[in-house]
Amino acid sequence: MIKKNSLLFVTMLFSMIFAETVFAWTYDVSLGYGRSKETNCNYYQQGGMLDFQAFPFTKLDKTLVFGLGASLADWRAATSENKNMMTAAVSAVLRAYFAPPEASKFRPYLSASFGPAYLSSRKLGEREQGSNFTFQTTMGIGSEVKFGQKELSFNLKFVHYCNGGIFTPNQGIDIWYIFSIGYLF
Amino acid sequence: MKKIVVILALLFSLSFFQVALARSGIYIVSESGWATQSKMPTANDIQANRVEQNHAPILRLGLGYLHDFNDTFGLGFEAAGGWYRGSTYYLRSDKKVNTYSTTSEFMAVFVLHQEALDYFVKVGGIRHTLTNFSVMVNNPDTSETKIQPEATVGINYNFNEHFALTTEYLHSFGSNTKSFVDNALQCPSINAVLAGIRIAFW
Repeated sequence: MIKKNSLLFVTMLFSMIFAETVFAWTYDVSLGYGRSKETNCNYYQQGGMLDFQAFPFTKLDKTLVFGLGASLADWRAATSENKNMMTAAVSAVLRAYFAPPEASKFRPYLSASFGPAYLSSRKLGEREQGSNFTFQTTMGIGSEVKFGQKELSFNLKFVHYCNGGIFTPNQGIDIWYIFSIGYLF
Repeated sequence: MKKIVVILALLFSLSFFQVALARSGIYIVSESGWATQSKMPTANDIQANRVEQNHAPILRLGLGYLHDFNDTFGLGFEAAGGWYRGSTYYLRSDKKVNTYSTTSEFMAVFVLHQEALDYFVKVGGIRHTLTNFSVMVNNPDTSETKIQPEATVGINYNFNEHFALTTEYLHSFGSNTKSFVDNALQCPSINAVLAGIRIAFW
């Protein structure tokens, strides 16, 4: 019985990994810059974010794709202390299109991701996290655009770090506007 | 008489609408209605002459994605922003203060489809800001923003694959604003009855 289940699991895993995607691309590497005022604070923070997303699976429905992502970011707060924080995160990613994306040169979408993150510092500006381990949530809107044989994605997203109350304190860190350009391949 | 006949004919045509509607996709929802904030202080609690509850206007705009597992069940996510009218306090200093709530709402959506009707439950969190209250109680240090649990229950009536009428009851689980804990203001509960339009992109 266990052997049968293991076989089924491995088969499913392989079929997911090698499933043919409906796009001409599977990966999205993007670089973004963001700047915004921290929520309920009087200082700005800014920084850059390098994001890698892979969509090797078949679509969940006509307009929804699921993928996996990894990101690195460097954030700086315009305060006298706790000025810098670097983050590394892995995440589950969803990309939802406004219409089925096949054969369209302009493909607007909504995106969201969630996953564990490591913070180089527990403090950024006036905000503090109870642990270096936290969660990163992103939500964004964007579009994929085809230029000849090349495909790019343009995205505006919001990033939020919090630990869901697992550690104390849990003062969320928000970067409201990050504009990124991605290369699809 | 002619108008009544037309309306009845429309209603009949809608009631026999039985097309199975594919609903997976991005949607937006725009709603308005009636709301009340419970657990707000009385006029006596904050030494005002009187207090008036204002139930309207309110506005809620949402953007979400629904993924249908089959013709019956769907699961989705909705992010929404809301503006809910609060109370007017007539202070003894002849000042009048209007309180209102602005919200950012993030919810999981569970949907049961039945022909042209969708029955749904939304559960999640709300970032609730009660504006003007701390000024009124002369305590500008109090934070007016709180994270609260929220739940809604409602029905969509689908005219076709893209357009639906939606109505729902919304409740955010707030605290009693009479109490101040560690100099932090407690945001009230919101109860709202909403109706509006839902537009699905695909």
